[in-house]
Amino acid sequence: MKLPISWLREWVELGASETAVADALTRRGFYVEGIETLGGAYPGVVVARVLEVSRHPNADRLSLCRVDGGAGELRVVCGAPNVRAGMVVPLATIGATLPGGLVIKKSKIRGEESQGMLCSARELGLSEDHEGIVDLERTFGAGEGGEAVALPASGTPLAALVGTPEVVLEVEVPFNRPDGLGIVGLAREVKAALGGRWTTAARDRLAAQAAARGDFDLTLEDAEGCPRYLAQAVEGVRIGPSPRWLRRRLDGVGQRSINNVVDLTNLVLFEFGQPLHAFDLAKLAGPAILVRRARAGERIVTLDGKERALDPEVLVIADRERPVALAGVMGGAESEVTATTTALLLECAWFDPRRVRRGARSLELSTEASKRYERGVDPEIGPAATARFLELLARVSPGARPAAGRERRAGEAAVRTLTLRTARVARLIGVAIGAEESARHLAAMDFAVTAGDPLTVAVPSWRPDVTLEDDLVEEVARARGYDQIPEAPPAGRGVHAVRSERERRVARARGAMLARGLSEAWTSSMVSEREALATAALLGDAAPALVRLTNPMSRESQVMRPNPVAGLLRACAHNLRQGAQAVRLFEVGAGFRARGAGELPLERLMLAAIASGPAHAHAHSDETLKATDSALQPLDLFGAKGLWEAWLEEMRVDTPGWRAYAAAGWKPGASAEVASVTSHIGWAGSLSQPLLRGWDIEVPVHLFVVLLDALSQDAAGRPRATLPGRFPPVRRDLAFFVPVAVTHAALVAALRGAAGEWLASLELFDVYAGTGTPEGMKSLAFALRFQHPERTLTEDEILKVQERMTIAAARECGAQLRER
Amino acid sequence: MTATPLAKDDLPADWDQGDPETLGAEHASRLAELEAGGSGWAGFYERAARGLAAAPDLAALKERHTRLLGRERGIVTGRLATLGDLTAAERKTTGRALNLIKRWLTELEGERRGALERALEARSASGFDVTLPGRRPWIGHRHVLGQIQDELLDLFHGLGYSVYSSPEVEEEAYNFAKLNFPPDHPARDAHDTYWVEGGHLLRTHTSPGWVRAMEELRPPLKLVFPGRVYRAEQVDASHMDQFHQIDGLCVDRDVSMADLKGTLNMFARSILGREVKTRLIPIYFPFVEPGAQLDVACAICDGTGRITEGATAGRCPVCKGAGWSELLGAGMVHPHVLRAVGYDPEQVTGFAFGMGLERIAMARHGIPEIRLFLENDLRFLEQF
Ligand SMILES: [Zn+2]
Repeated sequence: MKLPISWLREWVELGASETAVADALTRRGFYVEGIETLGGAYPGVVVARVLEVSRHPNADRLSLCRVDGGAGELRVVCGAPNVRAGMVVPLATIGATLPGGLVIKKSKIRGEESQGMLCSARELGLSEDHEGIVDLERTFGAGEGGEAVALPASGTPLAALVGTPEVVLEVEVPFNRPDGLGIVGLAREVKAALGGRWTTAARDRLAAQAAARGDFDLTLEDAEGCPRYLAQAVEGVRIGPSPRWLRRRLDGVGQRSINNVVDLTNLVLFEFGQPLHAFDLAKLAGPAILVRRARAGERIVTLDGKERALDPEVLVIADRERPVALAGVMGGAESEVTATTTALLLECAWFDPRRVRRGARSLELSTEASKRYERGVDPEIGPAATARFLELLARVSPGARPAAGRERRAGEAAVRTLTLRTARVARLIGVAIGAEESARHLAAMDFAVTAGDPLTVAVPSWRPDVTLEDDLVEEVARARGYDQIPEAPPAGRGVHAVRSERERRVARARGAMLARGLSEAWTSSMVSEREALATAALLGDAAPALVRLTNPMSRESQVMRPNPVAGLLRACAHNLRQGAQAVRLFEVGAGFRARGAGELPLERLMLAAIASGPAHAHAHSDETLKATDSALQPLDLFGAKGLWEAWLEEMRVDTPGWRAYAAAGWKPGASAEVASVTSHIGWAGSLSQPLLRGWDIEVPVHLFVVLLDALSQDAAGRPRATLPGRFPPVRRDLAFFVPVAVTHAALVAALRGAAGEWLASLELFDVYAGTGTPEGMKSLAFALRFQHPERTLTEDEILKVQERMTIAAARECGAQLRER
Repeated sequence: MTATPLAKDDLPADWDQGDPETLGAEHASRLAELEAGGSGWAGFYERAARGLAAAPDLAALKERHTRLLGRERGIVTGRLATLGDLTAAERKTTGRALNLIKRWLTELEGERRGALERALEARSASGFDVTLPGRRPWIGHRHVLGQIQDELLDLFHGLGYSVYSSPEVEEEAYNFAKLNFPPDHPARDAHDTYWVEGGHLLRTHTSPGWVRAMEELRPPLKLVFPGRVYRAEQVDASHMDQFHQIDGLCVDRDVSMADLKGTLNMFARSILGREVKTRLIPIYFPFVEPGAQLDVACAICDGTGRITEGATAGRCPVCKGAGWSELLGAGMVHPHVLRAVGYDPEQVTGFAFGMGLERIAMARHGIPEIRLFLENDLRFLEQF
């Protein structure tokens, strides 16, 4: 809401500067976002008359104008389409400074000299209008009663015509303060904040009551949607341009001038927050007004020229035959006030906020009127607003006189009365404020207060937001100023913070990924359906229960991700496009799965990680490192698996089990699922190129996905300490031939099972199949360490253990010891 | 066993080749000390010392040291091991001489080994270009929003706040009705909402967590609610349809705005520095009453929006004249919200606050575009 300071001063006696007003409003909850100045001193800008307009020889869109600037004829190049001979215009002469700081110099535009500039309203800081040169006759040529007035001679400074600059505050009005959408409401806040008083004119205007004479045909069919309606016919109206003062008021609040009557309804809307509507009385069948719900199939062409189909959710104003306006939203085109109108019907009504909101929503329309009705117009302000309109109408259209009128009210609104305890104020604000002080603050806001403790407080009709005692506490706190509230140091209050096992686990999961050299990504939770299906299939869910948005912004964001993989692949593709050689990213986030009707989706906390590109951030070949060394190569299957294994170890997943796994999207034979002792925890492997192409990725990508909540049972336990052996370990190498189908894990299990407690470690160091291996066999070679906690093992003891291991490997895996 | 001292000739003659200079300043006094005892060990020590001090290389040094002091066959070690066979008088003089010799020879061996090793390293130091890059592992970077979140949660942990998690896909009642957003109320317009099939919605703020927490727990409560929130908005440089908030909630018997103010200012000073200037102003949120917003003064113009001195006098270029910027929203928990979870507003009161991680990260790091946070460009992520 724009608040022009001169308009404010019409209502409140005020000594304060505009910055003090702005600060006071901000500190009372009406945030002032900016202060702008409309108009200015305009040094060097004068009233001028266009004598002749001809085409610019070198540019179709430009004109060459001969202009009388008062001090002789000038040649000016102009780009505005509306310039014409005879027009009275603002001319910025050479040396003039415009409000934006632009200094006018003599210049050549496309080869033609320009001795000045004709200005638009925006260039002059008069309004946002930049559609053409200001037509001074249209803007300033109407007198008080609409009669034409002569404009000053060419060469007169423009400032003399425009008057003093207008300072306007841009106020952010809270949703719960409909009164703030009118100058009167803001004036009341300023008055209370700065100790000002209503002006005499303000008091008169607020006390004025227009009384409608009772002979207009008015029916409230939907009294719930419209409990109050005042219809007042006015005859002898002459429609014409608005006088300067009225245009200036509308410019101040950012409204375009239309004609004197419409401008006046807008003036009252912005002043009182009460929307008014003027119908052309001659175009109302009856003439009569019926306030009712729209009937199915009814249509109306609204003032914006659009034809709209109505439904019974919409409250309409109808005449004898048809809807003529959408109640509280917009008027109809057929009954619009036009240049030929001589009699009008003024509507001043109170509509139910929810009804207007539903109507506006169903028609996807939002107007200055609907905005105010939705939030709640002051139900008692109608008569004063009507009186104000009629008073001003008599000024701008002399001879206009009220004719038939009627007001209908479906019941009287009760005054809301609340009590306010001093103790409640102290309890919520944290400082004792006496009943007298509270009463003073409330009275300054025109609440009717009866002394005592508790105070009895009658809430004024324009404050629908105040319904509880605590709302009054806020009024008192606001009035006193939040900066007057003391500051209490944070107290313990017997509550201490606890970090849950899950929080610690998630933090460890992140840390363990960062330690592997993967950076953390935060990706979109919303993905396309295609992405969701492809990534769900990776995790074995070929027909996922997706959580779909009903109002997505785009196809790229239409479902909630079933896991974070799609986001990581998007990030991967983005970085590759930007020239990244390697992409190593992980994310911890929810994956969503729809459940039964009414139930919230399942949100599974997951960690997903991708790795692609070189294994090292930097490596170069030199004599100690051959070019074929893995450090220079892209991360391979085992390089990636090593990362995930190290992560699992850091997460204390006890001997994770890896099983071959196949699902759409993985590279065949290069994926696995991972299980802990108790449950399935994740998936790992290389992605297939056809899947990657869905994200325009052409390089190999390794993926790892873990269900973080599945780790809880295993990773949570506190490890028991064991004493490290003090006696030197004995190292031995053993190699076995095993049938090709036997897995490493199976052989290790057999070996470990037979070894007993002296086997400290068993590490694979070679896998080989080829020359020298028997048909259908492969060779696996292990480095073993034996250690006794309390003594040195003898050669004999070690040989016995090795023998047991060899026998078990042979029995369980068909392994034969490879002699050297 | 004999008390006869070992002789010079028990050691090879070529041990004498070494330069006596390397034996150090104490050599003469050591010989004198051995002579003074009349034990006759000086000759042996002289050659042994020279042999160690002048060993030509590490291998020779090791061999000589073993010959003298080796655990199994060292000749000095051997004599020490059999001291017990001597008479008491012999044991005294011989034992003293042997222990001195052992100590000095050990010392000499250590010095010589150090000298030889240093010489060897110096010789093998070739033309290593120290500016060549190393073989470097990757470094993982925590996301900048994660870093801010960690810092804030740590701070609130210190003030006694535990983390409470609640769903991202939420029931309308928790997102709106139980937070005192009446149906068909314009306040909902500020929360452009994404809806999902089945009638639920993507939470538009983290505040639904308060309701869930209060339904589950009894006061006193001190909780923080970090998480992702959603608004159905067109994405541009300053708007994102997904962003992140942390809400805080404190409910107890007598919590007031003074407590809220103390907590908020401590928070602001912690993240923005002790000198930060703040102001608390009223604002409307349906779920608090009274409602408040904490603003932070622009560090350049101190909240005035203008620069009054110097060449740059005029509108402050940093805050563009605004003077203050919004840091967070807050207020006293609305009595309707307390009632909706079965708390009695006459028995308990509470304050709450909420802030956006993106806003803090952008202000602190000068990040110009909100879209960068979810784009995950490595060149961006690796800056933090
Ligand atoms: Zn500033």
